[in-house]
Amino acid sequence: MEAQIDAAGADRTKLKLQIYTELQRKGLTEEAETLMTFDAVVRASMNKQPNITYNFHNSPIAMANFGTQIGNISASLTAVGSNDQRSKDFSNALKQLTEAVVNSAELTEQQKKEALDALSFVGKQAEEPPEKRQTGVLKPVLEAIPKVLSAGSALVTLWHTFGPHIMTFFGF
Amino acid sequence: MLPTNFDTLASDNSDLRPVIARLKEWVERHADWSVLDPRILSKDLRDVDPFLLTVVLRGLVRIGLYRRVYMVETPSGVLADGEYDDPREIPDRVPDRAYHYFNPTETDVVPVYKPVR
Repeated sequence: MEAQIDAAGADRTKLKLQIYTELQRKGLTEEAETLMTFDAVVRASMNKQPNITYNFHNSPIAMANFGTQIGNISASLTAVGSNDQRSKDFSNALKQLTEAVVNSAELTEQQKKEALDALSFVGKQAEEPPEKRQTGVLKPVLEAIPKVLSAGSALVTLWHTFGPHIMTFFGF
Repeated sequence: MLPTNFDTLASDNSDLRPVIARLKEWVERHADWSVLDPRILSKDLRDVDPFLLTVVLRGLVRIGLYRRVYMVETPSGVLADGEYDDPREIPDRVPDRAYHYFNPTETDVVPVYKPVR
C-alpha cells in the first residue's frame, strides 16, 4: 500500500477510495471518513491558486454576497488561460466585467446577481470545447447581458468595449 | 441556512477553539450557503492547519449538527448534482451539469457537510 501511495499521482482518487474501502472493511469508519475529508482539504490547499486578482471596492462583502459566482468565474478564467490573444482578450473582458458589476453603485444586488450568473455561465461555456458548447443557450444569454447591465451607464460603456472580445471568442 | 452553534464542540475541545472560531466566523459570512465544502474552506482559511480543520469538520458530525455526504467534482471543478452517503455507492459514470458523463475517479470524490435538518 505504501508503494502505491508514493506512486499515486493521477490515480489518487482511485487509491483514496481503495484505502477508504479497506479502512471500512476493518471497522475503522472514523479513520476512513477523516481520510476523505483530510485529502479534500490538503488537495485544495496544494492546488495552484488561480493567479487572478480582482479589484473590488469591498472584497469581503463581494465574496460574501457573490462568492459562488466569483469563484466559478475565477475557475473559468484559469481554465481558459491566456495562451493566445483570443483567450487573453476573453479572460480580460470577463474579469473587467465581473469587477465592474460587483463594484457598480448603480445595479441592485439582484441585478448584480443576475449579471454575475450570466457571466459565470459564459465562463463555463468558454471552458468547454466549441463542439460541446450550448450555443442555443449561450447566444441569448450573451444578448441579454447588455440588457441586464443597462441599469448602469458605465457598465453599458464597458460592455461596448469588452463585449466584442467575448463575442469573438465564441465566434459570434 | 448553515448552523453556527459550535459552542458544545468548543467547550468539549478547548485546544480546537481557535479553529472552531475561525470556522464559525466563515460560516456566519456564508450563512446562505447550503453546504460546507472542505475544498473551499481550505482555500479561504489558509492559515488553519488542514488536519485541525478536518478534525473540526468531523466534530460537527459527531455533535449531530452536520452530516457528511459525498459529491463528485466535475472536470470543470464544480460539484455534480448527485449526493451519496457512501463513496462506494457512486456509479462508474456520472453526469456533469451539462449531462456529459465522466468517470468520477478521473476527477475527485469530495465529502461535503450539510446541516442536519
